[in-house]
Amino acid sequence: MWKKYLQRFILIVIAFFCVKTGIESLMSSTNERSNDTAVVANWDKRLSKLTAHIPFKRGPIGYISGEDIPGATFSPNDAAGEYVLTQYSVAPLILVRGTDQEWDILNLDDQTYEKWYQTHLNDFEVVDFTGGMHLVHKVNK
Amino acid sequence: MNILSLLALSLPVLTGTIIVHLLWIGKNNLVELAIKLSLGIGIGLGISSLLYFVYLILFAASPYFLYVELALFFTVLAVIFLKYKKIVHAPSRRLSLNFLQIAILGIAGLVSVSSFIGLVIQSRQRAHGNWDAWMIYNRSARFIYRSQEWQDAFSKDMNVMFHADYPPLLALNIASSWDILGGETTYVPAFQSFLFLLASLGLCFGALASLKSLGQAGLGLIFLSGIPFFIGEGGNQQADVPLAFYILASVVFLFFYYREKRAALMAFAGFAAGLSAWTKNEGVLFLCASVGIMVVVTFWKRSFRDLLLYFSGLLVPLALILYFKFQIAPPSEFFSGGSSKIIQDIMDSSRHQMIFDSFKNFLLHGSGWNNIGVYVILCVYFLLFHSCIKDNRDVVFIALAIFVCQITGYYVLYLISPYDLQWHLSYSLDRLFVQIYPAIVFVVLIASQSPEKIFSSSLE
Repeated sequence: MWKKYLQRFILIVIAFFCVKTGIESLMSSTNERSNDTAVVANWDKRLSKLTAHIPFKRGPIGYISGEDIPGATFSPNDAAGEYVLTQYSVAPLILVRGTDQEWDILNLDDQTYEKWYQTHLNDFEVVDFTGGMHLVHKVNK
Repeated sequence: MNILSLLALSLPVLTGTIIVHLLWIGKNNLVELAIKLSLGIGIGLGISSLLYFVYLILFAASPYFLYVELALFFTVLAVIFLKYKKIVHAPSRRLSLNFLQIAILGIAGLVSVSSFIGLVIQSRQRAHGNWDAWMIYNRSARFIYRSQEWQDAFSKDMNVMFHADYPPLLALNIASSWDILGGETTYVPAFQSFLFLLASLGLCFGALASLKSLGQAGLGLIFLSGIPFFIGEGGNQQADVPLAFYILASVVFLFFYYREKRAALMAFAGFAAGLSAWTKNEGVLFLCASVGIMVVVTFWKRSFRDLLLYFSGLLVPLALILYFKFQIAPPSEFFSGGSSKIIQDIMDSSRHQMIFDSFKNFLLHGSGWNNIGVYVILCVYFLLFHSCIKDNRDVVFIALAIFVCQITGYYVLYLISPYDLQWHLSYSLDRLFVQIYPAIVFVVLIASQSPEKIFSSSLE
């Protein structure tokens, strides 16, 4: 008989915790503020402006960010996130790490970009620039 | 666009519901309607995805998929119309609820509605879904929709972090809906995510109500909706909840088959297992685990009938999975290091220790209440509430054996993981257990005493 009382008690406890959790989820969601949608939409907009210059709609394009430049300062989390977002935005173009492709996107801060540009002055022309990203075209193949 | 997005997904859902109803004519009460509608969501979206894959192979870049879906819909509608004329339905039973059942269903409704509203509010702020959704499923959908060369979505040139080898169910459904709508919208992946979540809740509820009791069905809803780690995944636009649905559906069909012995139910169990492999790589693991256990059962019982029926349902999805894996997708990164690397990882005791500790930590403390893990809660619940298993004894053991194989498979996958193991465990372990959670809740509750019995006036 004690077992049945224990079972009843447990069922009531489970129901209580689930109701509590359900209501807490609802409350926390109303308080949460995320700007993910705006960030992705903004990224899409910037990238569509850059990729409009590329004469093909599919195939590989190059991509580098701070983590590809020795000595550059960068946040690993941001770098990975921006790489994923960029691939998401430029689809169906395929991002390939490095600048071996004819068309490349450089996601570099001003200082790192200047440093990179000085060493690649004769190999690339800058086609467009928007929001910290450069689209470059290889001129010296 | 939001209503149109829902309409674009409604067509396969309706087709799926009619197909399930065609092959599984029953009592036609409310509970059965819940089961069939829930199954219709998953089966319909699964069929639509397989169909779109074949359509892309044959007629890439032709914008007529809507007509293919409409043709399928009207065909099954015509078949059901002709079949309905000949079928005499069993009289439907009216649901009569006692006070306890009303109370449990009221609590289940409160928990489910509040959790679901919270999820919708959260999803509105993350219209593109979570990290994996951008990286894998929605990215893949963009490739398929935006380019005539849809195979680029699964290109070997893609960085390994984008998992181009992942099965394409979600991406194909998103792309086909965009194709029908004539433009990209974030509502489609969001609605697809919600549909799979609702289908999981509805199926668990309906199956428990049909096989056990309404009180037990309400408890199933409480366990699924009141645990954030499961319901919270439902809005992320990732493949874990859809996979959880197909695993649950396959197990539920096994239970109904063992009760009703209808051939279509075993074929559906195989079909759902096939769709699980069409959803995510861990679904391939589930498929292997299920087939392995079914083979053992076949030899144990010395009857091949069940296995043949299972394979008849599995055949089409399996053929397309094999085509996708061997002709289109790049090889999995798990095997990229070669056999020597795999053997080295398997022999590495520090990896075993790390995985074992993470599993232990998650199972004991993860995702429950007050630092008590949800799987501990389910385990204690089963030990305290289990009933003498008479009706479903064989199938309970079959389901438990499949779960043991699945969890062992998760362990082995971590063991040979090419990623930083600590990162990989912390990033994905809870989601792996999301995949089997609804099916485990269902089996635990099937094998346990119902609240009606526990709260009955006799306390013998």
